[in-house]
Amino acid sequence: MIDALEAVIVHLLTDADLNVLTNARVAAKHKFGDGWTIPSKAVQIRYDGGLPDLDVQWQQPRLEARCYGENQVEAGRVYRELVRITRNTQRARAETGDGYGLIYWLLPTSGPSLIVDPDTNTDAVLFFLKAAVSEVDIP
Amino acid sequence: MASSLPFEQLVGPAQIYVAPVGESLPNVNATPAGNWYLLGPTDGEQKAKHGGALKYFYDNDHQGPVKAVRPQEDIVFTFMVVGLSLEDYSRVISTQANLADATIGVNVRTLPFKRGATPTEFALLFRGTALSPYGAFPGYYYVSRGVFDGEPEAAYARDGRAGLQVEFRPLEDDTQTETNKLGFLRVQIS
Repeated sequence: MIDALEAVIVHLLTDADLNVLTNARVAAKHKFGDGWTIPSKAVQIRYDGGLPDLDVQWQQPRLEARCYGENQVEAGRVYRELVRITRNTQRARAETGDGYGLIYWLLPTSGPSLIVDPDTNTDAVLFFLKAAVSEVDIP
Repeated sequence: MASSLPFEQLVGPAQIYVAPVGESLPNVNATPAGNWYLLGPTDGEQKAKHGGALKYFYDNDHQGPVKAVRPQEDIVFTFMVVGLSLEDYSRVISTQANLADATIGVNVRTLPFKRGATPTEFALLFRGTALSPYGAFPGYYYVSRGVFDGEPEAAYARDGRAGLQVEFRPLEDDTQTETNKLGFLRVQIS
């Protein structure tokens, strides 16, 4: 079964513009203090609930995204790159440790909240997403 | 479980193109060009309804129906156009030929409402970048001849956006092969 979170993170990492902007700092758990410079632009994507689908072999997790930046404006730039990626209407293929996953959609479910992240004491934009990812791997 | 199963679940909206009847059909993997006009953006669900209820025949010797026929059929495309440029607006009410620019004090563009008895006919492409159930490929519904219907209504509000809910209904096109006269769905498979 495909790891939906891994598929989404791989999908984000394959986006060239986000990759350049964040210098590939996209992860399920931020690495500030462990390789990532504070402050810098980065994205942390975590599982945040959602509803299971009992009938169809896909996963629809709710995701929490934290877009870090050197200040509020820079965090906003990272946020806007993520929003741009959610505008994609083609299903996307993402390579995971369990095979290729198919991402049906990755859509925002909230607007942005500007916060000061307690871990790093830096500015971040917090918002939520929903994803749909196949359970079965694709060729 | 077949590994191709995930692609069979189709998600995502389509883009709607219209063109004069007779415009050549683009390849399924090509962005429509030439006289194909991108109508929109659209909002909400887009539907392709296969209309044509069956009529059943019963007789005194059976309890159930013994024969069914389809006296009428059509396929109705329904969507809400929220890109209200006058070029879009005029097409969904079929008056684009009367759209005119002028200088009346300032530069103006005028959309006349009178539509006349015979609606303008269009060709329609209902094109989805993810409409193929065989892979990450595009597909489209194509209707070679049809008309806009649905009595669209632009509702303006302080907290909402105006849109024109329209229906596109095909007309039989005798220039097409028998099975394609009401259009067809074509998707890329590899």
